[in-house]
Amino acid sequence: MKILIVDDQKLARMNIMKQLDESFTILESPTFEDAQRKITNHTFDICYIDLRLDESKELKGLELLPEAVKKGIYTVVMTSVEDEKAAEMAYELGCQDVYIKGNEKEHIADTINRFLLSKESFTEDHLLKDIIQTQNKKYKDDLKKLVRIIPTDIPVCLLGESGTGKSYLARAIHDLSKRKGKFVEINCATLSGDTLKSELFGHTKGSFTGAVADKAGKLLEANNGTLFLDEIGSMSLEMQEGLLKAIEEKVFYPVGSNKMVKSDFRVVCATLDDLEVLIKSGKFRFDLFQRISGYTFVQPALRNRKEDIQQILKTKLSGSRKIIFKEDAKKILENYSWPGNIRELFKFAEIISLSNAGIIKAEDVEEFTKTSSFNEKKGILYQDQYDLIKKVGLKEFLDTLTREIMLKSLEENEHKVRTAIRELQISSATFYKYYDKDQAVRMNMPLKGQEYINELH
Amino acid sequence: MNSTELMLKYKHDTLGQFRDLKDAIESLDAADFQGTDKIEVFEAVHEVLLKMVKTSGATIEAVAGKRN
Repeated sequence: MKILIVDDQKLARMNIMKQLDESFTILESPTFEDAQRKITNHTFDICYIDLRLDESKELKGLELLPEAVKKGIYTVVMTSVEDEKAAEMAYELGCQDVYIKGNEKEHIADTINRFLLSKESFTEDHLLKDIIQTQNKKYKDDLKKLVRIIPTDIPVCLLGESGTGKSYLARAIHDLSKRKGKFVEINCATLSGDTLKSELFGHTKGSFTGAVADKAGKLLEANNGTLFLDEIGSMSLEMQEGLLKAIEEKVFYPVGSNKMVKSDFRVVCATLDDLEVLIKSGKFRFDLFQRISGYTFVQPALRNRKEDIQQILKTKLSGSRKIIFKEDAKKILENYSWPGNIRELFKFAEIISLSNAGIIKAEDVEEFTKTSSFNEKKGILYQDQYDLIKKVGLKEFLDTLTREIMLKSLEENEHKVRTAIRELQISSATFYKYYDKDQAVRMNMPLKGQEYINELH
Repeated sequence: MNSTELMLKYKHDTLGQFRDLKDAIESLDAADFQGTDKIEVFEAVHEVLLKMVKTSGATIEAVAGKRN
């Protein structure tokens, strides 16, 4: 934490300093001009300002407030006498606390606590109002917990399905952390072997074919900032070893160099892999996992925060013409499994904003959900099926599904039972366990097929 | 500020400064007189004492001026 103490009396400055933690960076200003210069040229978290500076009868300290407040510094005015008017003016100028000098021990502890609280609540407000809007209680609670980690240097590991916004959240963590350096992103899945090594650690000229000049790596680029390692689960074991050393010691060697490079970076990583499974199968180092997972945060899948779908769409479409969703369309949007998560929802928003329709009907949504390319990669379970399983139980669901599959196969094979049995790769016993003769009759099974079944019986 | 306010301010400031001086001087011990580590405490105390004398004189003048 960086603090500025503005007071023309050395003893008063010392009294404040005595109460501050040794780990804080503290600068002193004995004059108005010096304070003005420091506030303009430096960044501070807290600024203690004495109102009467340079033996002036004027409340010169007040003149420092606008610039300090503008720069987002938590300002505390210290006055030697109870002066309500001065206090009122100070508050009106945006200062956070006013104290009468004396009893610094309590006052300083109080201001530090109030500063930390204000910072946390500011971060929480900003994160939950401007960056991620959610009505989902669990997600909201999780984000509130994350707020406490944001200003620290604790590594954060973001888990979650593809498209849930892990990169977006990683950037928000960096922006809200107030780390002065850059947010440097690298996707470990797109690069491999030597290329990834060179990208991360940098290289010297001539260290390999094509290294025509020295190049600083991402680790150095992220000095005083955040290094975001996306899809870290894809990283090779050899790279993991190098990265582990760099994270632990904050020093590394560029490829082809024996000169040690220092970099102070915070690690935020993301993966959709189950790292514990990768550790068990020997594909991911446990010690690296421990280093990167100081705090683990799970970005929920969109289907698990259905209550947010309408709001996200509304925000995404806010700049375009008015688009109305019919109730049944809304229902489908909520019941759809969104395998591509927010990314897929954004794509949907893009499609409808480009279409000419002002009213979005159920069939418009259905057309999208049926043809969405995000559906391809996922397993065979759909959300509506899963919902049904939850209602009727897995056994009932599987029995019904098996029956339906058998009837479908019979239908497609001119009701030839043997062909269906062969096609479905099941035994006759299994077929008859599920076969519903009455239903088959209701479905107008041709007599020939029916006779054949009787034969089999 | 009228003379009453001036006197109240003088009283508050002086008492506060005495308390600060007392704390600062009490924090010193014999060993500090041999080293240079605590020299800034001496300087700070000295600065306050000089200022107190100056403020005290200015206050007497100001109060006298307001009475005349």
